[in-house]
Amino acid sequence: MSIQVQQVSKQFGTFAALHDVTLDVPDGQLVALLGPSGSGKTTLLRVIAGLETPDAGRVLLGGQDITHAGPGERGIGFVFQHYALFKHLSVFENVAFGLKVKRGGQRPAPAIIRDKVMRLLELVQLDWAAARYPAQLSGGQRQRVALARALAVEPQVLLLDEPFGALDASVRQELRDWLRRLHDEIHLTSIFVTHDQAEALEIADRIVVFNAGQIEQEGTPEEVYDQPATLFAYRFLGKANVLAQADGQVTLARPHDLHLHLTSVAGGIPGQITRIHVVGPEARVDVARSDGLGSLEVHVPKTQLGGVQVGQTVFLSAERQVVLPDKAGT
Amino acid sequence: MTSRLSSGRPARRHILPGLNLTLGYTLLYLSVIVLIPLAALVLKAAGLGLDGFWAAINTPRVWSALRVSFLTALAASLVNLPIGLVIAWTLTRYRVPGRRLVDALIDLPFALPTAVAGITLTTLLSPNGWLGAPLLEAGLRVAYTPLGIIVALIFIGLPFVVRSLQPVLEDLGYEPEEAALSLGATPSQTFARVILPALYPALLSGFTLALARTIGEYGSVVFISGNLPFKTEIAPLLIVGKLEQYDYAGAAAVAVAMLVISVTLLLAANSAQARLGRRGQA
Repeated sequence: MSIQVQQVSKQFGTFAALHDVTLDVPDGQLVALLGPSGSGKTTLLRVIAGLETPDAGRVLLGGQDITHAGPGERGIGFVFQHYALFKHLSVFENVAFGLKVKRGGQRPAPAIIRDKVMRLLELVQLDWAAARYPAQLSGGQRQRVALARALAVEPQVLLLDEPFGALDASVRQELRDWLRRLHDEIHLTSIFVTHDQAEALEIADRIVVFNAGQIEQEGTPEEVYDQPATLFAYRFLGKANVLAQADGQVTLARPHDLHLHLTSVAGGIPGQITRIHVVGPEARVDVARSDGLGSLEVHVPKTQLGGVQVGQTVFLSAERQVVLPDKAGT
Repeated sequence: MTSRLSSGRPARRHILPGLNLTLGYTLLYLSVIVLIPLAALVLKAAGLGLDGFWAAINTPRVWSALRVSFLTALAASLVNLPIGLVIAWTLTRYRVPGRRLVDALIDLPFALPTAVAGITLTTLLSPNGWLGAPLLEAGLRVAYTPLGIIVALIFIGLPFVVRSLQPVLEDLGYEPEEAALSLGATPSQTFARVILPALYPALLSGFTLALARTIGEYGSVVFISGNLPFKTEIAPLLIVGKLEQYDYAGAAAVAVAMLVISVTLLLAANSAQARLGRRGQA
């Protein structure tokens, strides 16, 4: 189901967490809200979930105004960063919770609840853990229980607040791929909050970049990465090399868009190699500019390093560069 | 644990130093402060012989005093559970003005001499006191009745419940509550199915501490109870009475009876606590 956020503002004391935010999420998409901490992304997610009330603006779900509906009436599933599982309940009871608290005729028969919970636990590959308690599971397993619990009430929309933030790197990667596959299977409109650009770029259909309570840019992962609208978005989505800065304009290039030359080239920036660091198949080379305007980072495939040494003088040219307005404070 | 002593096996090294020292200190301290006095008490009572011991406690007056002590302590501790929960909830969840002052006031029953509490409550609740007079008019007599004892014990036991709950409530946070609400639970379902069960271990330990403390409470009770044998006479008072008549063995016998019942209650509470705790941990 589609989600529309219209001119939403939210203030905590003197801190403006959201300032006039408008966002359209089409049906069936997986959208990432990306930004540094305190940029308002989690607040927006909580406003959509009904866990915060906006000071101004409206939230629509499938075209219907739900701004003043309680969190339980919205048909949303919410996954918390720290899982928020019910510690005193078994995995089975955790997943069954949303079904068991339904009132009167809406509550399914025990046998139906059982079937449904076991099917969801199979979906998250935890059917073997039904009788366990959350404390007996690993972080990744707990988060999958939390996901199954959120899906049990058949939400129209799935909201995930930094769902992989508390997990270690390998589990994170695994769950990330798994979430993407799950989304491709069930096509549930989903929004997840993250401060990890790699995570957003990897699994989202669309990325919404947040900064200081406002949306900085919105687009597909390719669009926001290759054509960032602002200096902030450019810097937040990856390593940024400043090539030139003049007349309120900055010229920037990504490390993998720079080329190393051993001899002078037209427009090339001369510098001296200060460090060579090989990460897997890629070599990361730090070059101190001869004009004293700081240093640049170049990424080249290890095989194309051509035997350059630390201390050697090289020339850098940019295959692709971006010119953006130089906004102060970003 | 006794790595140094078990010859033949390689000594297991402990990361934290000083196990032998601290264990020795713990045992010595427990012995001097707790076990030796209790052993002396049991020994004194044993001087009566089994028949003499039974004769000393198997009188209607002793049974009545024991019943008054345990039932009033039980009632007061049960009443303190909901009161303590509301106070702890308010103190952890809401940033109301004067919160720190209220927080400090909670410990007052610890700090106040119990006799002062007893006299104050008696004055307030006696038939011509500020609260006692209107209550009497409403048909409720508090001072010099078991109800008066319960009021005094509520006062004494309250901090134990509040202080047991506070850290657990802080730790619980808002997330389980928000999770329950987002899954469609009503606020009352959220409270009954999510918040309360998370608090069971803390409620039980608060209840146990309050019960253990109030069973033996003497200072605040003697003033408000009126000490009527068979009605409001508590077991500790009976012990003091026996001591005043130089019946040391008889006093020890009643004390041992209290000890046995108290230890049984504490053990039961501890094992229930362990069973609750096991679910939460791995």
